Amino acid sequence: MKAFQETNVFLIALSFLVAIVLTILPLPHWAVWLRPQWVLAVLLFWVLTSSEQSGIATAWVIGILMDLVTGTPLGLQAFVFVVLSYGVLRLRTIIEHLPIWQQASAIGVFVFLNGLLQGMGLSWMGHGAHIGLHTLSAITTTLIWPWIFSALNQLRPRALIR
Amino acid sequence: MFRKGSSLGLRTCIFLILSTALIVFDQRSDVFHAERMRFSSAVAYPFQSMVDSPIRLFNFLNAGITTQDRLVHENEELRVREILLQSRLQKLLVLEKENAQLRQLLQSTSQIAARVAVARILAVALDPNIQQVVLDKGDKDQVYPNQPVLDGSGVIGQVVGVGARTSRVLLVTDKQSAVPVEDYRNGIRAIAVGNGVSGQLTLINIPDTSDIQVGDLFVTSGLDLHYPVGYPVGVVALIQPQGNDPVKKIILSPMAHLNQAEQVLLAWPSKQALTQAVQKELQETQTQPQPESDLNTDAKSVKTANTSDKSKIKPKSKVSAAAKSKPESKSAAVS
Repeated sequence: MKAFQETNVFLIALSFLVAIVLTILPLPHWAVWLRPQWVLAVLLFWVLTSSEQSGIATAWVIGILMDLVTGTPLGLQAFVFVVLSYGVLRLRTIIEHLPIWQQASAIGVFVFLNGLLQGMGLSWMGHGAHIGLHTLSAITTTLIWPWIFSALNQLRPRALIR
Repeated sequence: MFRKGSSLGLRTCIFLILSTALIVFDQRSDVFHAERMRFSSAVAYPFQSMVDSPIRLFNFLNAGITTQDRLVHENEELRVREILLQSRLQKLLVLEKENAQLRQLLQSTSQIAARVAVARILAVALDPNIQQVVLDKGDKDQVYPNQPVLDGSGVIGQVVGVGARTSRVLLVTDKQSAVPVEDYRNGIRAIAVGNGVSGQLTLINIPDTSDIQVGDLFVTSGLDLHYPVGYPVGVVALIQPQGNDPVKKIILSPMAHLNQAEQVLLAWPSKQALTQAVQKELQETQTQPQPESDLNTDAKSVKTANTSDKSKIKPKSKVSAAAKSKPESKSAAVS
């Protein structure tokens, strides 16, 4: 069990690393708003599938990391990620058993809420924010969720589930 | 470590309070903000170099395949030289204007001898709402907060966060950016505030009667004591009358190539020369018979400049609030 958990933690860390790299990878000007919310998607996957290890605390740490790396006011993404993870944990039993595309849509709603909350926070702090454009990333994240889900699910050790 | 269910809400609350505390500190405390910028640079650097170095390597290899090694080096050197020369060319604009204005006086006070260095913009993306870029120079290269960043054709922005090896630059088009500017043609002063994602700037506090036309070049007035005097910021792209409102909406498109730039110039303007130049200019404005509104604009610009003097630029609402407040005596504002 112990060794098993460690590999899992390593996998979790690696998946976040890849997600962050994908987040700061430069894109052409027109594609900036189409970028899927990689980190949030990976976070929600782990919250959904192994909440014993990644729950509210993980969401907060990853949120802080995102604030530091993407330049948003410190604490903003952490706040939003914690709220969203709470929502997913609450609705876990429902979301978990949805067919994959419905699940993807549910995740899309969470990603949209992420854009909404972040945009509100940013405007409140005097930054410009384009909440409407965040819808685009919610759509792309929805489209990409089934692949993220199956890829991470394949890599995830199954012994615990049995 | 925690039991499920009952403690979930509690944990959520704790982390939400923690986040809120961080947000408040980050917004309110300049010291905290500066330290956080340093920390965030340190944390982000490994990720950034993980993305930036392969791209750089790829670009390098790409160039190596198509041309010979020496040519690549030469090309790079020439590019740097070109950027430096172009910036020198821009400074000639100031000289020209000075010559025209005060032909008989050849005092050298207002020409700012600035040291410049070329910095590279890291190939990393930040949050698309945040109009900032990351430079590959930091504390070790004597980069300081509020330092002006230019390119060959205009002002890019100013440094808002300094880390050990990298620094973050707020572009002039960000909503939190405000640059005191003046019309190159007739010297009308204003403040150019960023418009956000649209990539343009808006002039604020311009009375309806002022003579500003589409195509006018606006250059830095230096009244904030950060930017060098007379460097191009943008040209007037659009003038919109606002119905009965006595204030016109004036849109500038930036001169600097904000989206394409790969290399930029960090400038170290001499504080003393800048102060002298600004004081002299303000005195001149006072002695000349000028409309009252124009004098007001001076004081407003200086006021705004002082607002942005802190290591962190305050939200725009505050800047314009400060700008709207009654103009104070100029000598006090400048000192």
